[in-house]
Amino acid sequence: MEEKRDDRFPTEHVKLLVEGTISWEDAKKAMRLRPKDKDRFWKYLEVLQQRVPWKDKILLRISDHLYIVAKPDAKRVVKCDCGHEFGDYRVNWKLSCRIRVRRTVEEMTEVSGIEEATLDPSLVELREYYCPGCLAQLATEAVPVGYPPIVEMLPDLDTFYREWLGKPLPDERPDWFQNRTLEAPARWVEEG
Amino acid sequence: MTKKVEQGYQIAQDAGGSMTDTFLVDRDGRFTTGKFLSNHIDEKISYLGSLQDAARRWGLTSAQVHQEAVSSTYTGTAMVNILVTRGGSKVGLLITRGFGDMPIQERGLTWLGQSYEDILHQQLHEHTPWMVQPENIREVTERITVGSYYSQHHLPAGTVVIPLVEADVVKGVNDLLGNGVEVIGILTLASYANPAHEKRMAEIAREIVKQRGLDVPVVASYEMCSVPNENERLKTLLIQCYTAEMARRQYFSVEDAARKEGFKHELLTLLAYGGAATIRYPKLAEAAISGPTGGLLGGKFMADFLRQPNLVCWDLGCTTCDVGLIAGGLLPVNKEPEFSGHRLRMPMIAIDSIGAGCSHVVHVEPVTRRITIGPDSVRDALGTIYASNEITIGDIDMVLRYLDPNYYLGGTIKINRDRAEQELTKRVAKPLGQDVYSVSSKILDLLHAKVADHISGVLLSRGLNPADFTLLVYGAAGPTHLWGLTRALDFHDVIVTPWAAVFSAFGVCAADYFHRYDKAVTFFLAPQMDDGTKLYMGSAVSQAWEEMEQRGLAELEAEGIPRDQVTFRHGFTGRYIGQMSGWEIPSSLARVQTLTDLDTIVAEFEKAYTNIYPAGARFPDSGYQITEVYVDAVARKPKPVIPSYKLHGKEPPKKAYKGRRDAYMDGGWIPFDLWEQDLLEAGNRIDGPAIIEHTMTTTVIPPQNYVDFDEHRFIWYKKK
Amino acid sequence: MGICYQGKPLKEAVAEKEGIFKETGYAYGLKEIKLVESDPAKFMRFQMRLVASCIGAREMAKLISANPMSLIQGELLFMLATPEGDVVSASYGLAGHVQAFPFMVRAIANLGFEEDPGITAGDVFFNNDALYGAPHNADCYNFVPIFYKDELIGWTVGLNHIVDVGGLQPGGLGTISPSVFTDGFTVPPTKVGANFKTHKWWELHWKRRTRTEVFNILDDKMRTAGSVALHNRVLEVVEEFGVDYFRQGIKEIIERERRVLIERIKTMAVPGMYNYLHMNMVNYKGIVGKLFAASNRDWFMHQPAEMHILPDGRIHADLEGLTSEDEFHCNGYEPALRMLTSLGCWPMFAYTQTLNTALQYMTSWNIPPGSLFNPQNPFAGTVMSLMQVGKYIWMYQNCLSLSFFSRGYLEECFPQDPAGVGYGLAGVMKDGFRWAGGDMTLITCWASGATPFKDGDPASVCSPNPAADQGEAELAEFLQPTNLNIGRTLIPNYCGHGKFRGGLGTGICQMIMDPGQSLIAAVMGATSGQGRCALGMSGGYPGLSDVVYFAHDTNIRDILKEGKPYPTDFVEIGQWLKDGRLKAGSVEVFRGSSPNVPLKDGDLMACASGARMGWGDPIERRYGLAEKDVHYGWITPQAAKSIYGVLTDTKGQVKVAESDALRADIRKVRKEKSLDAKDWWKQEREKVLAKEFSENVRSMYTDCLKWPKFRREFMGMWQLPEDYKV
Repeated sequence: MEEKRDDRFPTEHVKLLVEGTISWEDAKKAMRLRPKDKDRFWKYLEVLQQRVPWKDKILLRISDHLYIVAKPDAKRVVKCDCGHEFGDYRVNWKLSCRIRVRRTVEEMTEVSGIEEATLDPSLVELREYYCPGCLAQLATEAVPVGYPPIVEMLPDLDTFYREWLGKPLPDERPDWFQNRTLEAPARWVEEG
Repeated sequence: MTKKVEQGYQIAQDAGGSMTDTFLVDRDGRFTTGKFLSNHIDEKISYLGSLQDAARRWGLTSAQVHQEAVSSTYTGTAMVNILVTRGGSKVGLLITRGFGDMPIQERGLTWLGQSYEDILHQQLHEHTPWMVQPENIREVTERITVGSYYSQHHLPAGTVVIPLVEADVVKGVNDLLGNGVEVIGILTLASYANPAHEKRMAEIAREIVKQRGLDVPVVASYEMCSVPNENERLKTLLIQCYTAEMARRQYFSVEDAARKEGFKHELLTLLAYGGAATIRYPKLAEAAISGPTGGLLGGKFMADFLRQPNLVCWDLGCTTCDVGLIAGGLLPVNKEPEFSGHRLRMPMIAIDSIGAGCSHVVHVEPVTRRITIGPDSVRDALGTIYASNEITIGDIDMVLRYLDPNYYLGGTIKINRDRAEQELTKRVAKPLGQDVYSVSSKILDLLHAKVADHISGVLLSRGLNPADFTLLVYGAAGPTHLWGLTRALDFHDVIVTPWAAVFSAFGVCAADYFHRYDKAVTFFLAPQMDDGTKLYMGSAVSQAWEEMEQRGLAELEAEGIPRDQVTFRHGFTGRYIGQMSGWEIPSSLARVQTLTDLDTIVAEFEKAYTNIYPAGARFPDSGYQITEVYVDAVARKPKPVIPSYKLHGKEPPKKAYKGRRDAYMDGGWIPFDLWEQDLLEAGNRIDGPAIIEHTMTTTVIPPQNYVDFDEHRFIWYKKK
Repeated sequence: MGICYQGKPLKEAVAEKEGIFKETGYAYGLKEIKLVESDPAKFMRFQMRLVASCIGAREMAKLISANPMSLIQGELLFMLATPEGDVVSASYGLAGHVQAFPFMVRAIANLGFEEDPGITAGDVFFNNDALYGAPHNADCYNFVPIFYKDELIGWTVGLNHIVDVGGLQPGGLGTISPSVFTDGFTVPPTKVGANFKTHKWWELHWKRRTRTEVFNILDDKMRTAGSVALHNRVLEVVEEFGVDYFRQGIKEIIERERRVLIERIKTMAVPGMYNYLHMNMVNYKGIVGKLFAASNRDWFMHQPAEMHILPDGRIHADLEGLTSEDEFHCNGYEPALRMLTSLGCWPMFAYTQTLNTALQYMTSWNIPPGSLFNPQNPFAGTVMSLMQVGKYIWMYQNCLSLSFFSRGYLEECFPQDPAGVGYGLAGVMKDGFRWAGGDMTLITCWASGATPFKDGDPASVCSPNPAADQGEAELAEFLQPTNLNIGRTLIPNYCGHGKFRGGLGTGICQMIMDPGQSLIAAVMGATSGQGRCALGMSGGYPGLSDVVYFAHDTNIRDILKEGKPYPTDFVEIGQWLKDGRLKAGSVEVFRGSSPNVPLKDGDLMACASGARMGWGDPIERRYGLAEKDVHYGWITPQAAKSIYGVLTDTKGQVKVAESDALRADIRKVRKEKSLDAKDWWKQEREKVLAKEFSENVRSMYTDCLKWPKFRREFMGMWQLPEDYKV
């Protein structure tokens, strides 16, 4: 199936969708596709790969700026479109960001615009995660002090490529689908 | 044949999305029909073209017809097109302070007209394009009470709580005129309960417009509809402001064209609730959705003519599948009709559209084996048989050979049956592991069941039974599918008119000349009330009726109809106190003056209610409420007469026979006799399996059925 | 001799249904769906017949209702279920309830209803008890068995959301109730009628136990009338297709629809693990006093979810770490959780003309006993369980949005966060007349959140009511004459900000008018304290909190006498109070629910909700969009500057060069004000070690750290000593 192009939603439209400039009429067409275009993922990767300034192979896009890419040495790392790398995708990439915490009503109202509807600082802080490379805001969290940074997504890449796409990855391994986030603080505590 | 005419012709035209149909009647009621491609930019072209086409059949010119015509009724597409092309007037709006965002929020009804699947798929919700720009909205400080369910215990309806701040109005109007608006709309909350503020605002606005020497119409919502629900009132007001004056210009251009050819009267148009009115009628927004109304008026005419008060009117066309209901000889009225994504507050003849026309798309999900029809339609592209890549019902009709590829619209367009068969095989039959013909015919069953379920749903929700109804079939594709529908649902009788394809135009011609007026009233009949209070309540209804009668007489007089020629129909919307919705009921009384009158009203309500609901659903303990009353002010207008023909024998004339064609039905190919409809005569009987062809329609008759042509050449579809 | 097929007792039938799915993984063990495969078109016709029957019943019955929520805001539903309780088709309306009814049938089966009171043709049953499957007692179910000859072949069900449940607080959405005894009118499964009509005594209960008798009685009549009409329609369908086809067909519907849903997930999603978190305050302290000592405290609710999209396309959610059950109004049971969360599935992958219970067969939950949604106290209060279970609607929408985003189906991304403010009123008018009412304007219609390719829209969607609808202010006043509407506005800046922003939320503003002897309002707000959601999408910010704003003893009446304007939303009230244009004796502001608040003439009550989340980094917003925002007054110039890094001139035009520079500065500021992750970690760790928590946060951690999984993550992240206690 995948080899054959599904022309009902062409790559040009995928591109506009990614850029956020697609016309509402075309967007509705995409929503109403029955069944969906099965080759969308491949068109998507094609579009994304053209947009990034680097050559590493994109395995999956996990946020506006972030991708899981395959590195030559059988590594799979998180990479920003600016080129900055966040390391092994099994460790929460937030622990490789620059982090700003807004703790007062004033600081928070700066980005909410309405004081009465702003977070209660006695309950939560507002965390902003930036890319160390381009300082794009990659994520926000409104959580109590001391709340572990949340792992937003850990894809089961091998299952995805082998069983759902029918195109197994060359470097399959049983331990790819593991949350290794806690290795970071463990290392930090050793480093002191 | 040419004809000598003393008294004059009646012209009726229904301009649809693609074709403009003419129905032309002479003084003896004989008629002919015409068609012409609709011209949405300049409607007078299609008006004259279509009339010309009809006149030609009598060897006349449109000018000759116009010179001898007594009336011309025209339903245009102007308003729809103004909305679609967003080419309406520049509107200014004055509205109660705090409600200026109403036109943007539009109550959150972002899903009107969507299929339920799309409604759940909320990504697809969307607001309608603005009819008024936010820059041209001004808010005015004021508030009046709407009255309440607890009215005996709290403020009465129409109490001024926050007085109108006239300075706001003056400033607002000047701002708007400064912005160059072409029309000003005015809406305040509760204006139906007390229009004082809207009235005053309109006065001020008109005064300022005059002072500034401008020609800017000012419309207040209570003038459009004096009934509750501010959002619906606003939409009605905005449709009027945004489209009416523009549309009127189109109508005038049509009228000028007719006048130039010697037409001596005012052009008439059709209003949503089925009345005809001159194009100078102020509340022209009421003509916005007259399109499908024509068919039902035709139905009403047939119901009276055939003395069959219960009629299901089914119009199956390329893109439409409309169902309307005439019960007890009454046209059903929907007071909150929807019109291209807007919910309005104006009476409209109730018609339900189902996504099941011939151009509706057939979807198949191979993995899960789901088959669905619509909601999308390819419209004039028809399907893979013609100019589309989607598989449609039309494709199936062609593949199963109910239709003749070489005789589609009399052979005027080229049909590719083979392609349709290939696509159906490739995209439906193969994936489902089914035989292409058998799965195709079962998809038709699906379509027929969909329509049948809808019709029985409509009947059931009014406590009615299909067996008491006659099915009236029209629209280009109706006769092709009636066999399927009548298998899924048992009707008392089934009838097709020989002019099925232009039936709507016929209906336009059959329309009464009348205006309808609606008004909200405060009327409670609580159990504990004393007789004095009850009678006082009754007088409120009488007053409202009288007020509307006067308005009707005045307006009709202004349109040249003497008061002594005007008659009235009265009615009210009743419910048990506490209920949210009411039921519209025609009243046998024109005034409510005695306790007996009140009993009559209550009895009429109870009768209507228990027709629909089990006795267990009655709730007299809570008392009765009347929320709205209406008056129809009716004037006489010439009607078409259905001609009678000499009855011939059951045996159809040889010349009408066109040979045989195998068509697929009930799991096999059956040889169908082919007949030419125009050559069949009154009194003929055609036994199934047979297909009766006509340039505009095709009637399919299975082996188990036959049809009779009666003395009017109406086609009665029967079981053997 | 049981009433089910081949004389099987109902209890056995239900147990068998559940067993065979566990064994085989197919609904009713249907590895093959013969009717579907042999003749898909005929089967589709069968299925659509059943759907049409439900819709027909709804259209017929809904008009009886006295309840604006039912009629205008679609809060009602009619359904057809298998004998075992799986819903095979449903009308339009409160779609989620197709998930709850199976639990109700299981309940009456296990309660031995078959023997006593017996289940026979013409019976009418009622339930609104959460312990037995009703989400909460405002959702009332009337259901009627369908018998063919002597065999139970299905159930027809009518359900709607009533205005008042006769609880501690007026309305149906009370947010103060320590136990089931204060929840109000809660009726376990009961036979309330025979011969297809309810008994007269049943009306008395509505009359005596709820505040809005007429509305509730008419609603009850509506539910019964619709169920009975549907019952009769279904029997016609049985005649048409034959009872054997029907019996098999309704089971195949469930299994086929299960496959439809699995297929959609496998097509659009990416398997793996996703996380979601919502937190909000529940405030009782100082409200219930000594009378309910155990409830005289506040709770900071912790609602995490680890959502797995499994290799076979099923979805599993692990709620370990969830706040414990307690003596408040918002405990819930699995039916409520499944019912309400399914609302997050409809837009994402379960949209279909043919609503049914299939979701039951492809979603699963781990809900630890003793947690909020698995209370061990049979008398746990549940009157507003929906408040908390509802938060998981957005687990589906936000986690799946990220998943669809990764797969490339951006058009299906539809992240949202909690919304909805509604209130109940109860009062005594001048003449001593007692009345009550409620309003749903901001519950049945919200703005939508931003997506990866466009802004959200104002007033356009609603999870509990797919046919979003604010209703009419004129109708609201007809039912609540004391609350004069003086504003229903879009509030500037009131949205979650981002590269694409959420739609602006709506505020309603009311002036209290001639309340008479007394009037209290109890307001339910979906958010509080924490805001809408813990996570923004892709660097966008979560939506802004609901706001409930009371200004008491104002001089508004005098202001109006002078012909001056009135404020139209809470922001204006706040500003006017600051600049003295308005005076108030006292002001109460809640970021969500309020307790019972007494109101007097001239008080102002302003609620706002629906300010949904943004998507992406705000300083990447296209100038064109920002310019439009400022032009229409949707975003103030100050907010455009501080949030979006956009400078506009007096004409509202974007000053491009200056804005480019400003955005560069904002990046600099980000660099200055942020820490490298490791340094931040050290800093945060110190706080944790020093236990620098506010009281509410401390009690939240104390409660949640007893769950091993959450404790593991917390201890591991901060590398804490084994004996660490909060």
